[in-house]
Amino acid sequence: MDKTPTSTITPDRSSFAQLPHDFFKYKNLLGLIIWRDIQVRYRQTVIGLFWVILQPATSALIFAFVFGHLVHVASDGLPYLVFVYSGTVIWGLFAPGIERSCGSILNDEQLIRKVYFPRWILPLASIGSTFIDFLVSLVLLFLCNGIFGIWPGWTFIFFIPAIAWALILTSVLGMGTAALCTKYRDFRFLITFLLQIAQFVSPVFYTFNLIPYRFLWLAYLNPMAGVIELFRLSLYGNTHFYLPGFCLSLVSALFAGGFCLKIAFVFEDELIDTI
Amino acid sequence: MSTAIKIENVSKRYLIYGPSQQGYNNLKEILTHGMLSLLDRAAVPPAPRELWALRNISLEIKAGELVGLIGRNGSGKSTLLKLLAQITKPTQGRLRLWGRLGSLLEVGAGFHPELTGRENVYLSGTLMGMSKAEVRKKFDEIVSFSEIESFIDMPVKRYSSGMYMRLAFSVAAHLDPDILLIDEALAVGDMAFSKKCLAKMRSFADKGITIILVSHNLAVIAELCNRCLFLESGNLIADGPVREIVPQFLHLKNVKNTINFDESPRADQKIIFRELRVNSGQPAYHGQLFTINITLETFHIFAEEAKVLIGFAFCTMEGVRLLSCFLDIQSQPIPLKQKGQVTFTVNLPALDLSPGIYTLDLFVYDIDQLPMDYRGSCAQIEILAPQNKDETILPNVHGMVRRCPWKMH
Repeated sequence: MDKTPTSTITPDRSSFAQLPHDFFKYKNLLGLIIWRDIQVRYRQTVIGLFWVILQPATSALIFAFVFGHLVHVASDGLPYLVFVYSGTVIWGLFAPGIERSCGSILNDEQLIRKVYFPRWILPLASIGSTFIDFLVSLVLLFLCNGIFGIWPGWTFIFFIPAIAWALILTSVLGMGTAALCTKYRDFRFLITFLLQIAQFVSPVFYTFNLIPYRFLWLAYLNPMAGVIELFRLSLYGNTHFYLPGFCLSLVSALFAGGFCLKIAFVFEDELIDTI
Repeated sequence: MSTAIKIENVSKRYLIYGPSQQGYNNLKEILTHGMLSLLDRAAVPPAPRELWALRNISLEIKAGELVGLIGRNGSGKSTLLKLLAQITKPTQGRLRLWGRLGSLLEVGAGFHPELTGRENVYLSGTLMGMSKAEVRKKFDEIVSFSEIESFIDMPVKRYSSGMYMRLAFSVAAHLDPDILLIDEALAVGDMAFSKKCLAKMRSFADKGITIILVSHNLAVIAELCNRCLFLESGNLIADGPVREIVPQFLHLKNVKNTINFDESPRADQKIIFRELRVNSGQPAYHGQLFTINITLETFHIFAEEAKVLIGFAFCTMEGVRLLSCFLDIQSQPIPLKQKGQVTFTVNLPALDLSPGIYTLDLFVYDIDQLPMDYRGSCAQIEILAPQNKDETILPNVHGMVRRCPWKMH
């Protein structure tokens, strides 16, 4: 009787401080849901994981043709195809990750009604499965670089930090948007729309070299801008990289991430009663 | 004995919003709500209605107790289980659990149709809190319990619903929790498999696992549990040994022998039930004469021979119709030539439902089988075993029983 209880359930809101503990407690489940999502997505498809490469590769080719060949957009001295594909690859972690996490809680509504686990496991799993897709297209990126004879220099030390930052940023934004989209269904449409705009204001298929200096700060308010530039810098060494802008983007990412985490935890408990 | 569950002053409130009943789930509603409140205070939708699914529940359950949870639909049973399973949070109060919790709130939670049986066992097991190693260790046992060995590598979308349920239950049955919550999960698969499930439950009990069971099947509760909680509109109104609480529950559901219906009819209603009198106020015995008096009021002048089906049906507590009786209009037309009240007396010469508790439905259908008035489960009757000792040889089943003539060759 006097032993400490295994679990205590009170009206108190789930706290953010619980996150690291819960993350370790439910890491098996997280892994399993990621695995399930991948299995389900590519089962009964003939070419399976090849789809993962096909999508960014096709869009990179189209962009390369339109912007590189017809319009001749500047590409930091890189072959335009390499430039745009590297942007598409890292963007392919962010945008589909957010988009999939938006529907993640609703898609598994049956599950969270019947079994307890932290709700944010579901958006994280969606992003995890997107990360696997990202790794596959990363292989193609290295292949592409090799074909063009481009090898990374000392800046390659930023490669892992850039990816880690992209992953963490996508995760926290995904947790927040998943909660919002579950509570207010309109956000699903809004976010798809916002992501499309975001792709055009991010240095995915053009370089920020093209932006007039006095507007540069505005462009760097975009949390993804810094990540994309760091990613490219790590691979190619002499691409456009503006340190103050990078720092601004980092701060903006911290704010956006903090805000999204806050939203995720405000809604964490009440979602189940309003879903 | 040590405590397994302690619930202190727990209440749970749900907020029910305006006509859409689901709250401001889209931006339009939020925006219009905001705009309206700026323009005109009266136009603001009313504040959400509060619904207290549970009110001030306090109780303690010792380790190894088998507790049945009963109550009508909407009495808060499922909410209590959801709170214990941590799925939703209480509005007030505190729940404490000592030991690992397993919940069987739904059979097959987490199953994905595209995955194979084997994959689903791992997924579902992990969701319910087993580690990978645990699932691996028990895998063979789970599969052999479910009796679907040869289909284990097939996607579960190709399973029959029976196979699906078996596999799902097997995973849950091998969870090895200290506290197990079960909601209506026993009606799984065919008779043989149900028996196996019940046996498994009993073996849990023998191992000293604390079980909380919600079921509409009082027979299962009576058989399995030693303590019973009775919830009524969110309040715990009785707590005690099963033998005492179950009759109380039935008594509350039981209705007097005469029931009056005095609501006013709809504008276009032609006929309405006014009174039901069961067996002239006498207890009903199996195999003996049973009488029902039905009083109706008509607001319509029917043709010379009214083409209406007036009748009643005996149902199980779960609402399954066992016997429907209606007035024979072919050999004896019903004259409903004037407006006003009429009473019909119906006799069943020998009531062949086995002793037990049944509910009654009342119905009037028109010639197109459309209901003109319908009262589902409007009364509850208990059919008693006949007092005559020679007649008491009856199988212990629910429903119609008949002694049949036979020949031996």
